[in-house]
Amino acid sequence: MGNGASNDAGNGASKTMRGADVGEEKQKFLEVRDLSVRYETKEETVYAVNGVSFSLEKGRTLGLVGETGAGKTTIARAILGILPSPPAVVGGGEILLGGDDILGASEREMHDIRGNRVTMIFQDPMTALNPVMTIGRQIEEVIESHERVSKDEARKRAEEMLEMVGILAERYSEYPHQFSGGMKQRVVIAIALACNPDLLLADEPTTALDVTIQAQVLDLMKTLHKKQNTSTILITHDLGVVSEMCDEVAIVYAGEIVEMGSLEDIFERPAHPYMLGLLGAIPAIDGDEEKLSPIPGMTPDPTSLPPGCKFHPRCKYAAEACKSEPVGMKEIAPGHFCRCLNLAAPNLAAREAE
Amino acid sequence: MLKYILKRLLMMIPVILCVAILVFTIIYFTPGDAAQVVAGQGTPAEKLDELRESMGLNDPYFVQLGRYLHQVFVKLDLGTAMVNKTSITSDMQARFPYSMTLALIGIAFAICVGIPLGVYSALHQNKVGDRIAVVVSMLGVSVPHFWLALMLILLFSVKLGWLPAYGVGGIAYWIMPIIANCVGGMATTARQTRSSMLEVIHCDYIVTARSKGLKQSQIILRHMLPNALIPIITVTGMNFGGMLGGGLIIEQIFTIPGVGFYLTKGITQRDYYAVMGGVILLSVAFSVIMLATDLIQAFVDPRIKAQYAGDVKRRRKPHAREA
Repeated sequence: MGNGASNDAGNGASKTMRGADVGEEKQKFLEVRDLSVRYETKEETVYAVNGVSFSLEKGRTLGLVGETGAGKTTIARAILGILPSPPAVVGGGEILLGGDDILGASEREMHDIRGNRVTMIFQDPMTALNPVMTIGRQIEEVIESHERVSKDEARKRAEEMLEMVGILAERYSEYPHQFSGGMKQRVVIAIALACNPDLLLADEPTTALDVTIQAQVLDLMKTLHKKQNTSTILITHDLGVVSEMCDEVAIVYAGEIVEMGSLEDIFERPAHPYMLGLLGAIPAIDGDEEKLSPIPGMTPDPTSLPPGCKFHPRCKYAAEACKSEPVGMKEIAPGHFCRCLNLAAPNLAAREAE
Repeated sequence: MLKYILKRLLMMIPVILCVAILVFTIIYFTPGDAAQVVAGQGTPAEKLDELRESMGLNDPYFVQLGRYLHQVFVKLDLGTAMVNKTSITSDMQARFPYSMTLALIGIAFAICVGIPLGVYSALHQNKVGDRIAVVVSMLGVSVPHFWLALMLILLFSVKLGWLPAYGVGGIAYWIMPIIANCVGGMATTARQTRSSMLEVIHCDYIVTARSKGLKQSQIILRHMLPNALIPIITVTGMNFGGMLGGGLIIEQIFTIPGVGFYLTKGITQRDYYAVMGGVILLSVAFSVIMLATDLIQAFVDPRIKAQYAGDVKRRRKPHAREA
C-alpha cells in the first residue's frame, strides 16, 4: 500500500479515483470467507465465530448487528489480526483485503496493515488511550510508524488530525485524563484515520458515550467517511445507529450471520425470525402498541451451541428440521441473504403482518 | 512542581526531628550508663559521678533532649563518639560513601536485571522461561542476604580462592558484597515488574497500540512499561532504602567501613551517640530517597503530577486565556 509520503490532498484524490474505479468494476474490496474463531481454555471452548462470510465494496459502510457476545468484536479483531492468542484460535477461513489473504499474513506484514490500511475505533474511549502518553504523541506514533515523514512533519499531521476531529491543536501535549469521554473518542478516531485507512473497523464507537455525544461522534464519523471515502464496518447493537450510518447490514447471531442485505432489505423486508423479533422489540414512535414483543429466551451458550439452526430454541416458526439440519445461507432476493429453512412456509408478507 | 518539591523538603524536617526524638528517647530509657562507656571499665565511683555531672547526664530528660536536638539541628553536629572520642559527623562523612556505593550499585543491578526479567516473564506467562524466572525470583526473595553472603565467601574465597573474603580495595572486594546485597532487591523488582506488566498487558490501550501496527518492542517500551512502572518505582525506592540501611549486616560480614558497620560497632560498644548519629543520617537518606521516588513517579505518570501541580496550574490557565 503505497501511501508513502504523498501529501494529504494527493492522497485524498487518489483514493477517490480508486473509489470510482472500483465502483465501476464492483470489485469486492474486503472479502471474509467462512471465518471461524473459537476461544480455547482448559475448561471449555467458546465457539465465537462460526463460518462467517461477507464482503464489502470500497467506500461502503457495513453494519454488523448483534447482541453482546454474538461474535461481532471477534470478527473485527480477526480482520485486524489482534485476537488475543491464546486463547483465540482461528479455525479456518479467509480474509481477503484487496485480494491478499491477511488472515495468513505474517506478523511483520500485519504491522504494515494495522493502523495503515485497516484501523479500528474501540468501544470504550476511557480505556483505549495510553494514560501516560500525550494524545498528540499517540496520533503521531501511527503516522511515524507507517509513513516516512520527519518528526516535525508527523507532528504537523497529528495536529491537523486533532483539528479535523474538532480538538484544538494546542491541546496536543495534554494527556488523556484531561479529556472527557467524547473528546477521547475523537482522539481515538483521529488515531484511526491518521493514515487514511482503506478499512475502518468501528467497534461500538458510541456505546460508552451519552446520547448527545453519541450524535456528535456519529456526525463526525459520517463527515469524515464522506471526506476520506473509507470503507467502514460498524459494529453495534443499536439499530438506530445502523439505520443512520450503514449502506449494508449483517445480522450476527451466535457467531453466524443470519441475515444480510442492503439497509432497505433488512429494515423494510426483514426475513429472518431473529431480525423480525429485533424489530418487534423497538417501540414505534407513532405506534400505539401497549406492549413490545421481545424475543423470548436468551442467546445460546457459545460453549454448547444448539445443533441445526442456532436460533431454533427461541424461534416461534421452528419446525423439526430446524433442530437438526445445519442451515445454509440462501439468496432470497438479489443481494439479500437469509439463513432460515422456513422462508417458504409462512411467507414473508404473512410474517410481517403479524 | 517546584512548590511541591519545596513543600516536601520542608516536610522532611518534622520527620527527621521525630526520628531524632524517638531515637534519643529509646536510648535514654535503655538501661546502661553512658559515663561508664566513656570512662571505661574499672573507673572509681567518684570519677564516674564527676563525669556524669559534666556530661549533663543528671539533668532531666527534657533538658538533655533539648540539648541534643540543639546540637544536631542548630549546630549540625552529631556529637563526639563516646568510645573513640572522634567527631561523629566526620566519621559519617568518611563512611557514608561506602554505604552509598554499595546501595547504588546494588539498586542499579536490581533495576537492570529485575525489570528485563520481569518483562520477559510477563510476556511469556506460564511458559517454561517464565516458570524458571518465577522460581528463581522466589528463591531470591526468600534467601536471607547474610546467609547468601556467607555462602558466597565459602565458595569464592575459601574453596576457590577467587575473591577476597573481606576488606575494601579494588573491584574484586566489592563483587560479593554487592551480589549479596542486591539479590533480594533484584528478585522483588522482577516479581513486581512481572505482576504489574501482566496487569497492563490486558489493558485496552495495549490493544489500541497493537491496532496501530506498532512493533512489539515499541509496544513494550512505550506503552506497557511506562504504565507498569509506578509500582516498580515504589518497590525500587523501598529496596534502595533497605539496601542502604540493611547493608548493615553485609558491611559487618565483609568488614566494609560504611555507616552500617559503624552502627553495629556503636551498638556493641554501647556508644549511644554514635548509634543516634548513624540512625539520624540513615533516616535523612531514607526520606530523600522517598522524595525522589515520589518525584520520579510524578514524572512518569502525568495523572500523579496533576494531583501535585493540578490546582496551581488550573488557577493560572484561565488568566492566560484572558490575556
